[in-house]
Amino acid sequence: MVLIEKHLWRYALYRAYLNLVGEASKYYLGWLWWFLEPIAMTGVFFVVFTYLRSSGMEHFTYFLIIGVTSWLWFANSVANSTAALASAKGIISQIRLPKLLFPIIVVTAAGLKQGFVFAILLIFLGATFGANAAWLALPLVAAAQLALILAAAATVALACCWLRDLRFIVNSGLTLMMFCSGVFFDINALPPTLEEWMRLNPMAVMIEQYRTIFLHGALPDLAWCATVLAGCGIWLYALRWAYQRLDVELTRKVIA
Amino acid sequence: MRLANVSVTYSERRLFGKPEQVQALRGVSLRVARGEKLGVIGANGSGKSTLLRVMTGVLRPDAGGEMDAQGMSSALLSLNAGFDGELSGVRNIVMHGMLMGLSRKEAAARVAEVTRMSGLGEAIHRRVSTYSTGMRGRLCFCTAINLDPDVLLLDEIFSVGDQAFRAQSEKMMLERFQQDKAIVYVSHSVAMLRRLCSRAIWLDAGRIRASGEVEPVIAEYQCAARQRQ
Repeated sequence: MVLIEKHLWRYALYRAYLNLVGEASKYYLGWLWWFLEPIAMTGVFFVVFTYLRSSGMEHFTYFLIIGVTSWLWFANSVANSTAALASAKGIISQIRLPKLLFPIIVVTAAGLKQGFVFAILLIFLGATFGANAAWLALPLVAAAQLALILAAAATVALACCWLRDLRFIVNSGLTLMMFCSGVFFDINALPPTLEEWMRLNPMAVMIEQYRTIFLHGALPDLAWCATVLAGCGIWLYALRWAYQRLDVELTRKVIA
Repeated sequence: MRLANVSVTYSERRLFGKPEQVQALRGVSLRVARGEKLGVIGANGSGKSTLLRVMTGVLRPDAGGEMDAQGMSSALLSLNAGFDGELSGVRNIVMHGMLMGLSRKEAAARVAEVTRMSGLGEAIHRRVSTYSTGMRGRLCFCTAINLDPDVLLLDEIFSVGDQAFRAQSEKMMLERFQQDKAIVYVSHSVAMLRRLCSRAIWLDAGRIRASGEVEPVIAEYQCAARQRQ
């Protein structure tokens, strides 16, 4: 049993798939928004940094889109997890379930969506730069990011259920974190002291790993990825304990 | 199923103003035997829904209270049965089954039976948000009854739906829930309690005010209601 029981993982996967189908059916352009959202954000940064303030960087569009895609996966998952428990009030009032299930559903839905976006991105990057041996390290980087997202989403879901006010802080925190993640600039180009501070933000280093693979054809920092995986794994098991321990109070807070 | 001295308090703390506390149940003790049909009556806000949530294990009693399911599985049925309005009836049935531990294939195999029982026909493929309250009630009832729990907990489920559905669901319930299956039925409908239940309790402000044979409990409840008017 990894975090939740096997039948609940099956449910989470099915529920995540249904969430995506439901989300796509709400909009006229449907699932195209999965691709249009990162393209639109890349377009905004491209206009700002190419025309208003020349970036002077080769392949700046790809540099941006790698950062934006990776960032949106993290930010959307964490932002959606703020209401993961509150929005499941109906089912929580009906059936006794481990509350960790609900941020897992949010992260699974975002992960499935990211899989499609990533597949398209890989086709474009492969056509431009050509695939190389470094691409073999991609699953490790993606797994490290998934673990980081799950740990962050589960923490935020728990905290926001406990104290609803935290939602406002999470949204502002994500905006601040985006500006410190090197989505539209290279953290290596910053003054050393500032760069050191930036590297404390795991998303800044994560985005750098993707760029190292795609733009430089080099291997990412494998030790860093393994450390993130292990650290988030430990944190998730600590969270599972916290969710179990606080289950009674969480249920009452959701239902009340 | 046994409840001993069960209290449930909802509380909300705020930086400004007093902490808000609502005691939904106060020292409730109760036993539901296999095969028993227990009716629960009470005014709005008397703790009926909270009692069912304790019985199904969703809520745990405050310190000092105890709920022992004694190995009996239960399913709670209310009009807000946790169904997703954005999804079709079919998908909601499958999802509900998977939550109860069935595989997707096993859950999908129940769709035809639930559709037949509920009489929803082609509407089963429509989004649940487009259903009338009565149709929603049919879907909830037939989904839960199909899972065959030991104890069926019904929260105002027959307050909606037409006469034909009420008669049909009553028949289905009595057929399936004979012998060792129990029903706990929350309702404002005195007539339904009389027809379905062998015993009743009257909940008032979170406390059991009367318990026993259906008729005397209903009489006490109605007397108190008249006095309040």
